[in-house]
Amino acid sequence: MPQTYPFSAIVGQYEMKRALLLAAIDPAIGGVLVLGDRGTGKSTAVRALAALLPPIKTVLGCRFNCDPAAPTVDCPDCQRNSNARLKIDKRPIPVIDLPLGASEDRVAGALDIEAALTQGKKTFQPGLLAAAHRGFLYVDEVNLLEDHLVDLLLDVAASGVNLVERDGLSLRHPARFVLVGSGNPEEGELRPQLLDRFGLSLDVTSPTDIAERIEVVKRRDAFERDPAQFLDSWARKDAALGKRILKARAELNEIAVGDEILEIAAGLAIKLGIDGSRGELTMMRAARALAAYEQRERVTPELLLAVAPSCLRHRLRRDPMDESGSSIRVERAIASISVAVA
Amino acid sequence: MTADTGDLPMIERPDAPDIWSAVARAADVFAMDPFLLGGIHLKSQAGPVRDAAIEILQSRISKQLPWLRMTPSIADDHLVDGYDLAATLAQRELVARSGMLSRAKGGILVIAMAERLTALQAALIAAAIDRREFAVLLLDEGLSDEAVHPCLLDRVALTLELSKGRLPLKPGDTASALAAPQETPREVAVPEPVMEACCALALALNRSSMRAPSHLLNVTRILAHLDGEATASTEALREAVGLVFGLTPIAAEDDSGENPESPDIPQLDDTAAESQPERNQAENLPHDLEDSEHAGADETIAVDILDAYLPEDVLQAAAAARGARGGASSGKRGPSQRSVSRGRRLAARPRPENGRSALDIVATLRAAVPWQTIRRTATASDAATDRPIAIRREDFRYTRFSAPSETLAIFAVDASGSSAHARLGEAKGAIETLLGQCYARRDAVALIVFRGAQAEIVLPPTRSLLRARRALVAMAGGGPTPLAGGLALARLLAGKAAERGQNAITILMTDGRANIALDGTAGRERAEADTRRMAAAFRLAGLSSVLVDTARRPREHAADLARAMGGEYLPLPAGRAQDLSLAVRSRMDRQSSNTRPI
Repeated sequence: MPQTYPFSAIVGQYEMKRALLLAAIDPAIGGVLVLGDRGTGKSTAVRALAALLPPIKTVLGCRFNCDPAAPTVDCPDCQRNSNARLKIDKRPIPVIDLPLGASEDRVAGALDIEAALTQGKKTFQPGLLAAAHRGFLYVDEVNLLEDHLVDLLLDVAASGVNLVERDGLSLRHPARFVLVGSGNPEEGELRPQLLDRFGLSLDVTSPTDIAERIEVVKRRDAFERDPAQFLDSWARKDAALGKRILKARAELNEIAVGDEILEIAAGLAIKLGIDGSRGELTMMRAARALAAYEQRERVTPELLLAVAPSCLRHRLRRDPMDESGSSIRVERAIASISVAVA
Repeated sequence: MTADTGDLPMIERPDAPDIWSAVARAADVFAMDPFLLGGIHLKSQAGPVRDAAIEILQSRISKQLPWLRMTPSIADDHLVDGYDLAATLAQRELVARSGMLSRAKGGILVIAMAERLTALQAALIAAAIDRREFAVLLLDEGLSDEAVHPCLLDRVALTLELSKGRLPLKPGDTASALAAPQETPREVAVPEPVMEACCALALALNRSSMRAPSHLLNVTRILAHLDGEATASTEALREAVGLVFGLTPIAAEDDSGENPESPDIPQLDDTAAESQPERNQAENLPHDLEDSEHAGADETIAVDILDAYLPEDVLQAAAAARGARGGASSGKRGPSQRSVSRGRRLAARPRPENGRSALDIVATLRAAVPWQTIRRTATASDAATDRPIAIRREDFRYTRFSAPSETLAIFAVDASGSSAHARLGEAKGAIETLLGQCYARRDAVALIVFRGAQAEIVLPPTRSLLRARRALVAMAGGGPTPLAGGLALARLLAGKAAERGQNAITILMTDGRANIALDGTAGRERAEADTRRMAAAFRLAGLSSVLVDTARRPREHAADLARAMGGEYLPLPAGRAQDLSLAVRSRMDRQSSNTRPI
């Protein structure tokens, strides 16, 4: 496994980096959808983000990455040793790839064939959802994912629990993760239901600015030629960023969100004709995470409007033949709101 | 094989470049750092030329690295690691079976018929390339609209296109002339302007992915190293462009310095002008080569490269050859075959659906359990009695999956003068409505327009609304009616869709009056004869169709045409576009409702 490219060394792509940071600060924001061309550093950014964060403490021997400070009642492994004192293990934050063709068995988990065949025991073999608990689940080309897997993912991502009812097994285990999806809309659209479940969405394009492109190539080249030295030269920045995320996480609950902020959020959602309240909730959470990251005490209208495009653009009711993109519609609405605020 | 090729006639094309030295060069570059470069995309039909090329590659690369060959027909569960079921049952302990991707680790995976890889297979292989587990040799036999999945092409640094070379099948000399160096090319310096040229070129060649300039840079550096240079030169970059983008280099013209502006490459000019105002033109790019020790520092790198490639109409050639790599990709990537391991599970059944069905272990065990006591007493002497469970052939249960079949709606629209003025707007409206529904249902849409001298596929089968919308906006009307050509294209698309396992339905919107024959000549009589012929072919192929009569006053010959095609006839009274989309929708539903077990 090659080393991970440092997060701070990623050139440009500010919106993508910010969205990932916000999702890392507050996983309740609910995942990030990155749409755009190939070779824009989508998967690099996800892996780099996980490498920023410190390892998580888990219960030793638990295959579900349970937190020893708060063992869940749902975990089959921890339940079994509930009487004994839990031993603590440290693991890097999981970043789990969900390959396009993964079978449902592989994703949700299935009967442990080894135990069934050799010992005649009926035990559960955890799948990718269990492995991603407390980490990131990355789905490249999410728009090509098969519908039945999409349904499964949506359900688990929303509830934080994976219910297994198959192969004569019946159990539930915790599976809370930040869902990061990427894809190229030219190759197929995402179903609106799936779109709505993502907290933040953004479009990435590869830079068209020659200077920026050169910088990308240069850094990539430096990294490939001497990873150790490259990582070393970015280690301080990465460490500082990691600390900042942890600090923001700790302070998240102390950030005040005034009623006027919620009013603006609601106003935006109504103006854009967005159904449901998921858009407003996400806006509020994302703005709060941004405030924590920026070390503010309260959410200001500017912060809210800064995150609004990522929170809303994928929730607009789609008129398939409308030429103006959703980003433009959101920007227009924001412009009108900011005039009103000022 | 080279041995056979000696008997083949020599086909000398003096203007063609020597493909064999390019192959040998690519092999040497690749051998320096196969995992960094990802692999080689070898575009060629199967045959002695390709065999010879593979032999060169093998002779220069294979010394240290194992080669493993696979074809896209491999079952998905053999691609990744799994269990060896038979051995597991026999030995009563879990026997792991390593998949093709694991076995290829640290070596070269040769993928025959790479254009047939499914999106899933391509994604799995691409992920492994990213992890530097192996490098690939993509043998691409794709014709016209077939292309290797772009996620793989993007990760592979080197491209060789054999069709452009001449055929003096004598690769031996060039192959032995170059000695492969051993060191890794870490100490080659790449001057700033060369790096800039890498980025500018990749952009100019319509390769928005940031992997393209990196590939170019890596290949340039390795080439410089192979030539024993300490600094990557223009020459190395020139050669690298050929190897990375699969272009055939032509001799550089004498650089007298006075190079006219190249209006043919607007992207390069634009971006250079935007990002670096002090350099107004790409031509000025390399004037500050102070840090370069290269002798030709005063040469202009960009001009040099553009000189070498532009006369061949690089932009178009590259866009056509590698179109699948760009953002607006088109064409099909492999068969969207129904997998036997995906989709929703159906009840297990005792007989495999086909050779690739997966054994359902739980169901198998469940079937075996009730018989255990009986079997044990019946076969007391059997050696198998000490097994925990006796499983027999009749116990085996195979998993079935069902995946909903996709529907492709092919709109063949008559945009000729006779039809256009009357109904083109309504036809567009109906298509738009249908498209809006297709996108939620994951149906694909294609659009054929016939007007003027010939029919044209305006929109190849796609699910992307974005592209469909663009195609519709750009659709114009007017001119005579090449109805037969439109039918021919529709039959082609529908046939291909059927091969992919899709249900295709053709919606032909016309008034049924043809006046252009298949060969593009005018004349009502021949045109109508051709149309009848194509209609009969359509019916013979068993393709389903709906003919929507767009004439102001529906007449008999459109209905006749529908009968000849073996399809349905649907007169469309003016101003009822909504009805049309409803009618077509219901027919599409009928098509796709037969979700069948696979």
